[in-house]
Amino acid sequence: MRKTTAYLLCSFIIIINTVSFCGSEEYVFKTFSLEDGLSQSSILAMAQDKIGFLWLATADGLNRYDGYEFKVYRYSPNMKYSLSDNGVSAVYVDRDGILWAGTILGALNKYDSKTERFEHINFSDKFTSEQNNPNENLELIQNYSRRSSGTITSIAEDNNGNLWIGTWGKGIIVYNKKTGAYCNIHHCPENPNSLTHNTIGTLLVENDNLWVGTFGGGLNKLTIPKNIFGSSTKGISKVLSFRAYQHKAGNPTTINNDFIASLYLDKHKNLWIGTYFSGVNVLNNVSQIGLKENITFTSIPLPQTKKTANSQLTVLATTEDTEGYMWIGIFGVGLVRYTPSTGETLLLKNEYYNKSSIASNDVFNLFTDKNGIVWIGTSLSNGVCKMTKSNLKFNSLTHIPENSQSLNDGIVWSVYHSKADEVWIGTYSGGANCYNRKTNQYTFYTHTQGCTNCISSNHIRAITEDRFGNMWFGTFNGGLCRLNRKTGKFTWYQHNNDDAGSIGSNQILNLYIDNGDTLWIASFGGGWNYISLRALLSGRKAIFKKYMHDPENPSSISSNRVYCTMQDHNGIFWVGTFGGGFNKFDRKTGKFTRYQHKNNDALSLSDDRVMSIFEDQNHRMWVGTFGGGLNGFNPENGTFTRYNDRHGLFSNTVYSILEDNHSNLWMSTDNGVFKFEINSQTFVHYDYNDGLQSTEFNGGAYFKSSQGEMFFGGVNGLNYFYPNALKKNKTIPPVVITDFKIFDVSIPGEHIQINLEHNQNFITFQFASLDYYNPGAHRYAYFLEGFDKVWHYTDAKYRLAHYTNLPHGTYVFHVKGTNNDGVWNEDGASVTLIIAPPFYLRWWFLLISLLAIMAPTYLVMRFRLDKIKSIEALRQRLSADIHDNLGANLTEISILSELMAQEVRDSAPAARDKAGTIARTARKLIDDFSDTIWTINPNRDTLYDLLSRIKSAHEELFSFTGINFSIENFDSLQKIKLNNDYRQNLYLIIKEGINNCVKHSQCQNIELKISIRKDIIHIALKDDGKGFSTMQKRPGFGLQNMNSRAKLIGGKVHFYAIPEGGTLMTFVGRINNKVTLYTYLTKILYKNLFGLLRKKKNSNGNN
Amino acid sequence: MAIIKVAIVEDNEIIREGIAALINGTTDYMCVGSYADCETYLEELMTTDIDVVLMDIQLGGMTGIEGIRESMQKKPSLNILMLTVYEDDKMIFEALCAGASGYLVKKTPPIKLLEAIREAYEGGSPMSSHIARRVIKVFQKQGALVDDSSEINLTSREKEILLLLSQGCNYNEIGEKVFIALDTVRHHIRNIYRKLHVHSQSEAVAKAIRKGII
Repeated sequence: MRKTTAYLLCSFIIIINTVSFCGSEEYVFKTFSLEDGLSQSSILAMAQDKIGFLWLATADGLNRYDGYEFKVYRYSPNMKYSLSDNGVSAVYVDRDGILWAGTILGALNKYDSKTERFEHINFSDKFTSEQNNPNENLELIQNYSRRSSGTITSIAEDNNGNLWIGTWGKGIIVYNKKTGAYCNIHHCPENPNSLTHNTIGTLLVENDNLWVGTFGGGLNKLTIPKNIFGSSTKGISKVLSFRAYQHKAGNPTTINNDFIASLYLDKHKNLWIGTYFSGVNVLNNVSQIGLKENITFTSIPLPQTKKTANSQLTVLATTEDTEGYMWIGIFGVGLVRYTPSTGETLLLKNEYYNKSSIASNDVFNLFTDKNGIVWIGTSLSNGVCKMTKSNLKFNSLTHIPENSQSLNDGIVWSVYHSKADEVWIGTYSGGANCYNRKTNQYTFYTHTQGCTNCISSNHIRAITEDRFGNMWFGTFNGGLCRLNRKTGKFTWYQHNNDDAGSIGSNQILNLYIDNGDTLWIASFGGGWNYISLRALLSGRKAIFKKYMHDPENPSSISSNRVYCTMQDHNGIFWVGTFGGGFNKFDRKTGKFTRYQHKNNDALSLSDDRVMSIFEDQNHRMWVGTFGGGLNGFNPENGTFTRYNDRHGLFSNTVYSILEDNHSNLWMSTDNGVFKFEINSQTFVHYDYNDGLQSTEFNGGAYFKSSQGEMFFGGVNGLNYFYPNALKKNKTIPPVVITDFKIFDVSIPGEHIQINLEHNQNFITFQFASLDYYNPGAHRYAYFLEGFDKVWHYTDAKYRLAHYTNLPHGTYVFHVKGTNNDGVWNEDGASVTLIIAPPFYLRWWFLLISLLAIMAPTYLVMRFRLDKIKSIEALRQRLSADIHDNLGANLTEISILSELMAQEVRDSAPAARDKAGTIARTARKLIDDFSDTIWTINPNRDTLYDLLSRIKSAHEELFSFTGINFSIENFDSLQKIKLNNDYRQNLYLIIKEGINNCVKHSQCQNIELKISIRKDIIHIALKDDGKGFSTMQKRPGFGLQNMNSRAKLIGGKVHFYAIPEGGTLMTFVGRINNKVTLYTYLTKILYKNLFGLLRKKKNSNGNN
Repeated sequence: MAIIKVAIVEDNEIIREGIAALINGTTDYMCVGSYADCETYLEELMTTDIDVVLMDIQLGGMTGIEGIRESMQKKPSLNILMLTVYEDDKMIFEALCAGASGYLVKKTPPIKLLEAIREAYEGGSPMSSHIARRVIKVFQKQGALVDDSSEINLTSREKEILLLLSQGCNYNEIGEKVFIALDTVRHHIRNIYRKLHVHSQSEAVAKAIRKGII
């Protein structure tokens, strides 16, 4: 503690202003203003909520920033719960995570994130009239001049859950969040220890202390009473006791002046006081101060500029960053970085030519977010500035026109770092550039027409050096070139059609020197050439040996367009070609083994245009292709693993592959630089946001020095860096769903569960991961559980998930996101979605429809049943009535006739016969009728019943005539049921048949045989009588009758003559063996109703 | 030959008088009483010497079946033949269970009528196959209730005969199949009827019969 004070005291005395202007590249500023969606460019206050959103209060609207968009909240007269007024002058996030916004008109707004509504609280009724208005006396900066006396300038929360609200002329309001009670503390002349001034510039709470920076009354400190609202707060201003710290002229330990614009408490509990006009004071260790009167305010020496004298330094904001620096915003001057330990300052000001510099020197407020990014609020069209330290040190060499000490051409095709610490750069049209890092000087080797000693071409595609002091250049159209460093002499080796020993082609893409000092030359179209350097340099004629492609020989090299050469740890050569895949070359055998792309083989090389082949330190092989991305290669089984955008590599062209010391591959592509972490199989992407020259790199332009430094060349220069120096953002970002739309209409609020109607199914989710370093590099993935089969990956440009026509049901929408360095928040955010079924699928509808369908069905059935019942009843009644009446009457007739026959037996024999006939006729009638009644009876509905009746009905006849009647397999027929009509007709057919036999055939035996197969019945009535022919000629046997009866029941009757004598009558028909519902019902009804009728008859008496 | 004394209970006057006349007009038969209803018959039952009763099933007042029961109680040895218009009357079985010895169709020609009366008098009782099946069922149902005495349960011979009857054999055929005389067959059937009557005293069976379950 004391040390720091001493330090600061020293720094006060020793005016060391180590102002540095360079190093401003260290800090990169990015500005967001009206064009980006910010509602207004005067930033009055800033805060970050617990979720991670940034809140920017402006003079016209409150903005919520997610890294991509500004969501603007404004006052709307139609919406009761909108912001109370548009000028928001203070924002504060309390310990419960609730956002409070104070406005210029003096209202406090409480924001509910779940509903996106603002609750308004007005304090004006507690204000008394004697307040002072500071605006009269001072020339204030524009933002301050908007203020009125009720304007809320700052908000803080104490440990008791009360809010302390500073106003611009009405003193302080204390607001009890729980009860909604509030009171006003103002300057009270009667109270010697009252608040010194009613214009509060700013205030903050430190533990149990309230620090009030008044505007005109200096600094006030209050020990916060425990229970302010416990008793009446009416006269609180008279009672509360503030300790005042004011400026005393001539006492440098006092505060610089009494107009305090900003207060900031750093992590060491030092209070930084920004004044209006008089710079910054710091009060150390405020927690230890207690009620001491003699405390020392230290003034911070700030850089002087020509514009402002020392006494004109207005500091409206200060903040601390994560590295321990203090940042001080000097209005009109810029942003100063202050090192508390050393007193060093660094001024960052606006450079009109530098878009990455701070947007404006009018710093209004400063805010450090959770990630350590410093946000600078300015005004007058400049909006808000985000300051990040460029944590990635991609150095670059670029072409700067009019600067001769830069690359002479920005398009880099090759790069080589020599042992002499020179960076050799082969360009497109500027020949070879040699950049000496120690001296910072460039030397250029260009080709000029007709030169005596120069490089053979300006388009340099390959550079290497041998151990004999030569630089070797492979050119695009000038063949091979050697530069003797000592003599400075160039030697050209070019293709000569007449000379078979000349180099194969003038287009050289790659040069490689092996341990045996053989130079391997990859030429485009001239095959793979090689030459012994020693032989060459010993003065002998240069004879280039070549391996050419031979279409007849599959062991020859796969193509003459050789692109790159690599030798693995075993000395095996790997040669990549453009369009022929790559080859493994065994020097001993001279044979090439080809590895090429095979259609429909996902394990083959992804593309035949091989840009580079690389072996990592674990002897794994990697192949970069033009159009097929990255391949991992397994030399043992010849299979390839393909990497593409599904894995995070979003470029199809991998030009070069290098490796760092941590098992990471670095590759240059058409879409920036990718770092591939082999162990976790993840790709990290770097583009010009990280400092790269461009996203487009060039093939062949890569190099790794022995110290581990990497070089990548592209269309806009060269980047070089030490991979270990690159820092990674390891913070897991919070993922939020920023918007939910139904048919493109946003539904406000946070959603945990959304219930939708079935026709509201055109929905959109918008999401973001809240990390502000480089939100454009974020990647996202979403998945609708219950609908999607896989996660959908997307990038920051398209942070939307659309779903249409979802079937009804329950779904959960999951989304996850990364930060700018590919660190995933796997939990992400999720929302449950319930889509109600359309009314026609809802349970109550289905039930109603079911009932609606069933009801008429039931009614119809009932109706039919009733009808059947009534028919049955009628039938029964009829038959019962007829039954009894007829039966009785016929019986009477028969008996009387019998009697009569007896009486006239002797006297009138003719009469006796006639009477006998009458009796017989009557009896026959009864029989027939009895039959009919019998057939209706559903209880006698089996075939068995039918036959037993036939038997008993004819028993008398048979015994009389002496005919033997037998029925075969009688018993087995018990189960076979016949319906009414069938029974009746069949009975009559058989009866007729038997009668025929008895009457006409004069037989002895009648056999009845019935067999049933499936549902065909076969009845055979056989007699052993006279035979067929006699019967045939007589039509009156009721044959027609029988046939028509048979037809009625779907059968047929036939007569056959039996050879031994006799007749066979058959009936074949189909019977329905099943008991239908109808017959079953009829049976039941018959039983019940007949029984009822009988009982009724008995009670009613006879007839 | 002894004269068979027949009584008639029939409410139809013409039929009653007609049958009475037929009976009286035949030698060896005498109609000792003709009643229009059961009540009158029962009153005179004890004081009249009757051999066979012809009782109509359909009567006013007390039904024929009740009449049979009453009659059996008063004079158990009396043979009662049920008269019915149609053969296939459900009531027949009930009547048999109540104690009737057999049944006759009213339209039966006089000769047959008198024959049946004589048969009943001599102890035989006609049983059709259909009736036989029903009888079997009755005895099957009773299995659980009664004890083993052969007073109540059917003997195996009786069961055999019953079975043959239910299969449609007439008395002659049964006699041939079982190697017994016709009279013996009749005798067995008589016993079956008697036991049936006893069985059907039981409330449960009576109810079941009435309901047509058996």
